[in-house]
Amino acid sequence: MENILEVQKIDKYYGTKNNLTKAVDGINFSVAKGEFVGIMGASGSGKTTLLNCISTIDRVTAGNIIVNGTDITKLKGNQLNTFRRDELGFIFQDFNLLDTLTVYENIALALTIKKENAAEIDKKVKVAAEKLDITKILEKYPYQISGGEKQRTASARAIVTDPKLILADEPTGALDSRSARHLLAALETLNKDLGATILMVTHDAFTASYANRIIFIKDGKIFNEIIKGNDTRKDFFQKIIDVQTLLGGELNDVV
Amino acid sequence: MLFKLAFRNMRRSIKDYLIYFLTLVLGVSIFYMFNSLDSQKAVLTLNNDATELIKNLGMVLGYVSVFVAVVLGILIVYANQFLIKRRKKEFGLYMTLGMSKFRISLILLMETIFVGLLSLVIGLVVGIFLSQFMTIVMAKMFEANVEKFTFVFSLEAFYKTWIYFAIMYFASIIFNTIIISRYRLINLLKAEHKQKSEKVTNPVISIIGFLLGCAGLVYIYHYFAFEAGDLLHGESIFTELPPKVLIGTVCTFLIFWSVSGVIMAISSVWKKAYFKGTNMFIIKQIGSKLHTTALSMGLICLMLFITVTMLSVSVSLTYAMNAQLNLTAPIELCISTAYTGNPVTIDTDENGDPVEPEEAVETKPEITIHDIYSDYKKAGYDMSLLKDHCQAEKYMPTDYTLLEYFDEDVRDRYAVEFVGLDKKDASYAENRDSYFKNAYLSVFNLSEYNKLAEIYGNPKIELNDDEYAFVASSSEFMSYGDTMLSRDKTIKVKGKTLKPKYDKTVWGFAQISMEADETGLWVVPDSIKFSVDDYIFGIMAATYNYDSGKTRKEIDDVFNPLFWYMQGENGNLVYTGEGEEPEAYKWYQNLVQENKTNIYIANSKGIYADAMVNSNTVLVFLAMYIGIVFLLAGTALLAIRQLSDNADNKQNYLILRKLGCDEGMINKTLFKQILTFFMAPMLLAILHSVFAIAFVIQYVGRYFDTTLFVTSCAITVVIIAVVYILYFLATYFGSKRVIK
Repeated sequence: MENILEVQKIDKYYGTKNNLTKAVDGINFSVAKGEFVGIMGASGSGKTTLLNCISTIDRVTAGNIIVNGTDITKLKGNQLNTFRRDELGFIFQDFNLLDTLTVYENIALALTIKKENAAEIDKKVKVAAEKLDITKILEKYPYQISGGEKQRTASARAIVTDPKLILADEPTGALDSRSARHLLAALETLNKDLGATILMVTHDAFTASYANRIIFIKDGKIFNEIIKGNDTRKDFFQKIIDVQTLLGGELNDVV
Repeated sequence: MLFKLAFRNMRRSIKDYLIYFLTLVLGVSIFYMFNSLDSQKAVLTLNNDATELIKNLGMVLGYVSVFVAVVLGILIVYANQFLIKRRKKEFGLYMTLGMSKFRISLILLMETIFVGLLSLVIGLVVGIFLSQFMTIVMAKMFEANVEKFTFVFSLEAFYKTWIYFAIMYFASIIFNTIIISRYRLINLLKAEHKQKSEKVTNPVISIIGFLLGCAGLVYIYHYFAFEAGDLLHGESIFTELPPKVLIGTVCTFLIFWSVSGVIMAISSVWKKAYFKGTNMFIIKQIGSKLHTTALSMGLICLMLFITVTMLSVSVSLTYAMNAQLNLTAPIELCISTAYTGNPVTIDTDENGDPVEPEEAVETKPEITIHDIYSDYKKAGYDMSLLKDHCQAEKYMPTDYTLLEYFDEDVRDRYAVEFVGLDKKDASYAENRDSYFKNAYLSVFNLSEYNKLAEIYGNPKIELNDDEYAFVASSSEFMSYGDTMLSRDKTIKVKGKTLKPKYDKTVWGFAQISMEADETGLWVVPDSIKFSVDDYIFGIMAATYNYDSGKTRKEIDDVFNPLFWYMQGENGNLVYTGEGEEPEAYKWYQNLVQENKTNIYIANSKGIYADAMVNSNTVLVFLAMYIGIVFLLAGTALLAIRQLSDNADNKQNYLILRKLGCDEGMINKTLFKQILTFFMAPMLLAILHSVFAIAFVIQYVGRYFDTTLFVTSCAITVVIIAVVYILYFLATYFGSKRVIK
């Protein structure tokens, strides 16, 4: 299957010569079209840095990231903005909705920025809203809706532009468990029924269990990788917990 | 520790709020500059009038300074609140670390003292330098000589600035403390995540409000542009004006309050523009802000309105008056006399009724026409001070009156507009005609008139033997003349009937004056001879000879004092000048008594210029003072608000970036938003000003050339616009830095 994302030996260093932190240290993986990949790791493991590099918000120190055939590490300035606009969709932990705009307008904004035709916008927004089950709240303002609805709005905004890759950064981080389940189910549908390629960063095992494949990161390196395959979600969840336990520290670490 | 913290904070916030700091510095320097005005007179050689005037001016400016201090105080308090709001997170951190609110207030106190001291010191230094510049302006205004350049420093103004600004800063400290004491830690820490709830206004109410506001303004505009002109003549101005001003003010606020709802309503219909780029973000942003800040936007608009109107009117008035003076007093000196006892002039008494001709007319003495120039020369005047001179005689033959010349409709206009008779009065027609019955034509022989026209640079006249020309400079009289000339009205002078040469009034005058107030001269062919039975007036016009090394003021002082004589009851002259009658003027007494001429009245351009300066100076200085402070305070408020709002919206711009907005789009979004907030109050203010200025023009247009006035208003507006644009750009680039 065709690879949407190829991460080739990327490094990301922070700090000065004397105090160098390797946030990402030679990570290598790829995501095929239609995959739902989770990236897990503890705080400070480098998962968010990795996501920032893929989403072109941050730059890598070394290595290449190829999204849909384009090496994004070679892009500069406005090319990056255009790339982000046309190829990627974002879902953030804190929703990142604009307070002054209604749900409808928040979704439409992603299209207007793309300079989409005004006639097309309405159709696309409604389709996206339908998929995420937010048709009823389209005319409401963010302050009038719940956290789950906000995140589904953000998800609708992420898919409305029909991106090659959807990047989700702790999408359930600010949600209660019910809303989280609702959202994850929606993401799962997007992936299964519409073939959306999703890369999700999380530290929550339950959230991760909705993915097809999970890459574990520790200290900037890939620690393990597990595939759901034909497992039920329950089994997969158990596997994740196992790896997490392993990841949590070798016995030697405990003094 | 606190000290260090406060000092570092100040350094940081000065970088962020350079606009606020610069405005403070300018505020201090302007405050000092205008308050030090009084001490300027020490270095200027001024006459008594000017000294007195500057003293009064200093007093008036002193009172206004209290008002200015209040405005600046409000600016400081308001700006400080914004600066504190921006730092909620920082204060939250201090409090989490265990700092008490009292100590946070202490930090703020020290910061205020730092900023205050720094702005005061820099402002005073700038102010002291600016006031040197002011000395030069004053010297020019009063035509005084700066004997030698002396550095002026006013200790009084220095102290005053310190005290006033100390009070202002103190007020802001109190407000800061109150704000801090009300904060709760949780709100401080979560300030950034706080979700703003948007009040959705009912579009119907907004549209109704907006239409009401517009209707109100149209009514007010119409009133000031077309109807209020009548007010200027009556006392009703004090009862009529305040309600109109109130309506205008309320409507201004109403428009700012409702306009966002109208914009929303329009954009919900006009989808194509709304769903384009970041337009909906901009529109929503503007909409919500305009609505919640309607009060301050309205205030800023009114402040700008006052600035634009005051500055343009006062500066233009001075400029227009000067230009006008060069038109109505093109040369420096006119000495005139009436050879025939008390001449009948078209005077009216205080009730506006015509004054009966005096009986003395019947017994007027035999007189000869004097050559005024040689009279002066004989008296020992240094006539080399004059360059060119000429003398002409004006006659008022008594066998033909204005009653015969002006048709009834023109007489009506004349009586109502100029004499001020009331048409509703029962004896109106009688009063009117008795007035005209006693008013004679002022007549010049052609060559005499042309002599004057030549020296004044006015258009000369050519006549055939049976023709006359009508000359005037007052706009009303020019139009009366035009009407009569268009009817081919003939006149009868010394038994001879003359027909009009031109179908329009010729612009001109017999004597220099302050305003265009020549009320009509009839120029007739030289063949018409006048006799001593007619009233005869002599006019000598002269220009000054600056090659003599003397200034206009010095030559004025040689010829002008004769202005201070009046004819007493028994034909003797009475000295009305200040102090003792100077010995040197005694010749003039003899001249009048022995030669049986009337008094010589010397009028000079200098007298008019001085009178104008006196009447204008207070107005100009007041307008400049208040106007500049309002402009600074208003634009600074706008700028600080915008900077602070955009800092609050940093998150929103980050979202836009994440959604793939490129930098160009972000900048455009920011630009459009700031532009709207700057333009909205300015546009309405300019619209207000246009009608306010139109109102003023109705008043001054009687005396001045309107185009001249409008041009200079436009120039003032351009100058204001430059200041405004500078603030706008500073805000834009500042905001750009903030959202990066």
